[in-house]
Amino acid sequence: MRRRTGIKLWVLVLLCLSLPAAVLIPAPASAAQDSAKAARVLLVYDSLGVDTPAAGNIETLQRLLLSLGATVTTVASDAYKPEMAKDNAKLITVCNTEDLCGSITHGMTGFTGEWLHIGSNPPEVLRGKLALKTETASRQSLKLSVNGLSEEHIFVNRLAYITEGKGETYGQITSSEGAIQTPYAVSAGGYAYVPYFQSGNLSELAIAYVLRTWLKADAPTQSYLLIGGITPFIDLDKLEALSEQLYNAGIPFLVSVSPLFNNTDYPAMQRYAAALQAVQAHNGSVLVQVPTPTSAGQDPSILKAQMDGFLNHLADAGIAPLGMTGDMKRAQGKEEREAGFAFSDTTILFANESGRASGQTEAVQPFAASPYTMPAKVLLRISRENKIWPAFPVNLAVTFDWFESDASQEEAVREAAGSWLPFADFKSETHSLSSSAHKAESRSGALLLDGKPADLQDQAEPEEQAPVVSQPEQKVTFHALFSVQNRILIVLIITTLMLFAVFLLIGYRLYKKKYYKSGGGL
Amino acid sequence: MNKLQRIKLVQTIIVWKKYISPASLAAFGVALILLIELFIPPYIGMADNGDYYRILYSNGLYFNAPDYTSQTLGYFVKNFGIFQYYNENSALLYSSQTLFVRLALTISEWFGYNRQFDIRIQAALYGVLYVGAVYLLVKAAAWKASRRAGYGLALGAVFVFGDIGYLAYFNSFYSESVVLIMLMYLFSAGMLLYQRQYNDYFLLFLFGASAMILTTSKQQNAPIGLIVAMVAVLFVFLKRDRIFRTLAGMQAVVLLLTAVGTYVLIPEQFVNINKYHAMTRGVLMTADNPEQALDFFGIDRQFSVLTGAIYYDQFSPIPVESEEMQTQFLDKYGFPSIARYYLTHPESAGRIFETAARNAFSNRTKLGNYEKSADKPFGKRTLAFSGYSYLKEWAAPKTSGFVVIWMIVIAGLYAASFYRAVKERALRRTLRLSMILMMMLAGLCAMAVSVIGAGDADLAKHEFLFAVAFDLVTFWVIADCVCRRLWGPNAKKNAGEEDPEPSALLQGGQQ
Repeated sequence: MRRRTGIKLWVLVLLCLSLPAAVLIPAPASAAQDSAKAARVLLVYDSLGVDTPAAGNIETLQRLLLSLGATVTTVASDAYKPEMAKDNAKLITVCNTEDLCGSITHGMTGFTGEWLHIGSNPPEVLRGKLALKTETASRQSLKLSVNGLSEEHIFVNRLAYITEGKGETYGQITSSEGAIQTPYAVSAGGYAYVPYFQSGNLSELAIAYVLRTWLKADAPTQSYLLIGGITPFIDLDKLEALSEQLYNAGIPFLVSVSPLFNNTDYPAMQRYAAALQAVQAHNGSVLVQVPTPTSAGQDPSILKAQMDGFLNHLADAGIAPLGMTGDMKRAQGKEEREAGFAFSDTTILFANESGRASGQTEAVQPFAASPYTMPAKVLLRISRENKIWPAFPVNLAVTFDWFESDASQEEAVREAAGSWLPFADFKSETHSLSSSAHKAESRSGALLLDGKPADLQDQAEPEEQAPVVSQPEQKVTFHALFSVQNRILIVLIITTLMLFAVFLLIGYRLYKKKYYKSGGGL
Repeated sequence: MNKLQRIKLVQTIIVWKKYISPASLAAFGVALILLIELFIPPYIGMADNGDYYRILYSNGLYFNAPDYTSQTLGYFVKNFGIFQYYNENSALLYSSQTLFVRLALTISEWFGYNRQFDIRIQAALYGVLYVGAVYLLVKAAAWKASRRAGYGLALGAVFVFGDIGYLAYFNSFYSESVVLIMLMYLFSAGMLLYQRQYNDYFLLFLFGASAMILTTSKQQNAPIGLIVAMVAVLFVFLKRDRIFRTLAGMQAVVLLLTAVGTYVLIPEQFVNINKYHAMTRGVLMTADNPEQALDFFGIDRQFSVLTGAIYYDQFSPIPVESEEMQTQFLDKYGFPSIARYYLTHPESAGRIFETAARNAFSNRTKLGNYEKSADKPFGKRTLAFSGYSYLKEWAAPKTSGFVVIWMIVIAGLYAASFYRAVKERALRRTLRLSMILMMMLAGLCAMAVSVIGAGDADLAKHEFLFAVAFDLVTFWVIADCVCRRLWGPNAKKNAGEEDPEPSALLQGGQQ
């Protein structure tokens, strides 16, 4: 009995000791959304809503789910098979076209897992579980508010809205005329209903709050500033100036840089590397963008070797990239993902250029760290009740595209500095990137390259050397005359010369004979 | 074989020789190859390299194969859709090639095929014209030749000009088919004029018409039009006849205007792909210091990393179709500025000429020849009737030095007779060297235009005109040697130098 009491006491002491430790030790970002990690989500949609306001929302949803740490399998409703539901504990159905989605839930009635429906026509199961009643309205100008954030003048052609429901509600939708006042979403016991979702407005964040609860993700979130579109051809002096401006404003930032695969020994590459080093010296973190294939198509095996070469070049120049960026569609194909993103488990995904989700039916695994990208112009359009932003539902990378003019650059820096967004330092989390020859990592604010602290001093301008251009080997003029096909000619000439010599000899002898004859006659 | 049979065989050969001239034999041979290769399955043609859409859509045709794009570069496609309703692109008249495409389309509609266009109709049209051109060429080449030499030349012509590297173009929408046919007519007409084998007015017309069609077939041929116009001036002094002189004079002026008009009016086809290669695979690759070369054009030095880049590279630091690439790179230069660059940088010009010469002896492109239905691998090229292209590609010394030597030797061969003709003021006889020089210059010009316009990319197709000019001139020189028109006891007689026809200039000089 006493022994048992002793054990209990020990356990209690251990618990007391471990509790503050758990609170004090910061959770690494890679562990974010750990609880959601196991979640396998099946995303079924009726239509991609091409050329409608709904266009792009499936792809946005995929990116959100991956950022929240879920494994996503996306299928169109006509390709859905009941056995798919067995492999996935969670189901999201999206109704983008009212006429088409009547049958979307057909065949899913037997699904017993957790279910989230987006759009009109919620399935009967949800209606029952959430005691849901909905109505529809046409041509409405809405105000959407959630968690202290709000956006007005969201115009919708057709809106399904909740009139009655049981469970936790999220946000509020109010029509401009005041006729509609309804919660944005409702959820209870693993079932949730979101009547409206469109990319490019506050509903992106609003649905993220719903998903966060639905996926039971509870890790704290951060926001980062990401400058995209850095290529070797931009004004590199401007990039250095921007780094300095952001550094002076106290904003840590990320840059997404295009790789260079050829002529990496040219001075242009040295200047590019020097500019990136200046970024690093001004508390910027470098991410490498996996290039979008050109219209000629691509061979993933070539890409992997080329990317590796570029990453090694960066590391040789003292730059420690911490992760990759790329289009969403690149994360979907197994081979493409392996070729482009295999170097790091930190990956920021951008919306596809075409804005279309691909019809991939394979499950897409999440990355260890993958902040969700949101263009700054979308985020800064959102009004907020307080100056301080509420906690975001997901790690957020607020993106600016590379600036065309000095004025737009100045304005962006002003906006970022005045936005009150709490931009975090990417390096304070654990990230790592390994190429064939080097390893770059960040840990608690330190940037390491091959295990040693990376050089964060701004290097002076690289010495302008004479460009080392290796000329393609030129064929020497007349070379061919003496090569293969002309050997015949040489043989002919030699033969002729020999014959000539023989004839000369014969002629000489004949001449001599003639001379002797005539001499003999004398 | 008994005596009677032998007599019969000899009689047959005599009859055959009487009715089938070397020219007819060559024409028949080429026609037969055309029939076998282009009209009997598996049909031979050329795959689209992405250029078809311009000529197709402007002429009321469209790609109707659902998997058309996947066949690009690799498979020949023979059927295209005909627009059934208003075609908003139809007003565009791109080049003289349009005439042939529209004529083929009309023929197709006559036969009731008004929904689908079979490219073989166009091949038949080109084929008929080409057979005529071969006939005239051999007719001129075998002039005053012995029977043996004549038939030998005819077989040689079938070997060279019946090569599939040439004929396959007829089953395609490339303007090279027009270039080939018209260049042959142009050369033959000039030579026949010198030989006085046909009516001068007819030949003058043939020369003018083929020159105009050739010049207007694409914008790049504008300088060739200028060269031809210069030779056409000579025709004014060919006859005393006032009508002839007026017509010849007018023709020279029209040709000159056509050349200028082609450059100004025909839409610029200096498309981005070629423009990109002109810089990345031309200027930058041949420059000692690519950054300084970029300074010449006012382009940011950072673009030097594009040295050697190909438009079709799988990955590019910025997408080649992007707006940045357009405004920061492609919009900063054009054909004239690149030409100016090479003129002021002879070392680079020398290097690019060397590259051009290396590729100038290839008659065949890397595009596939078979239809997809023929179950051949993607991009498979036919081997049948390709002996000459392979021989040429294997045997020709591919250096600029060879091109120069070839030109000097040939000009030297004809220099003596040219000198005599000038001395005797027999203008008609000067035409022989003039025509040869015209062809050589046109070939050189095409070579220069192709490297200035597209660097070292796709040279086999871009230097097509040089390849044809080289073949025509070389064939002609061989013909002159075989027919003993250059040396030997009867050279002067064979070359027509003893034919009585005082030139207009001579008479004019006496007056």
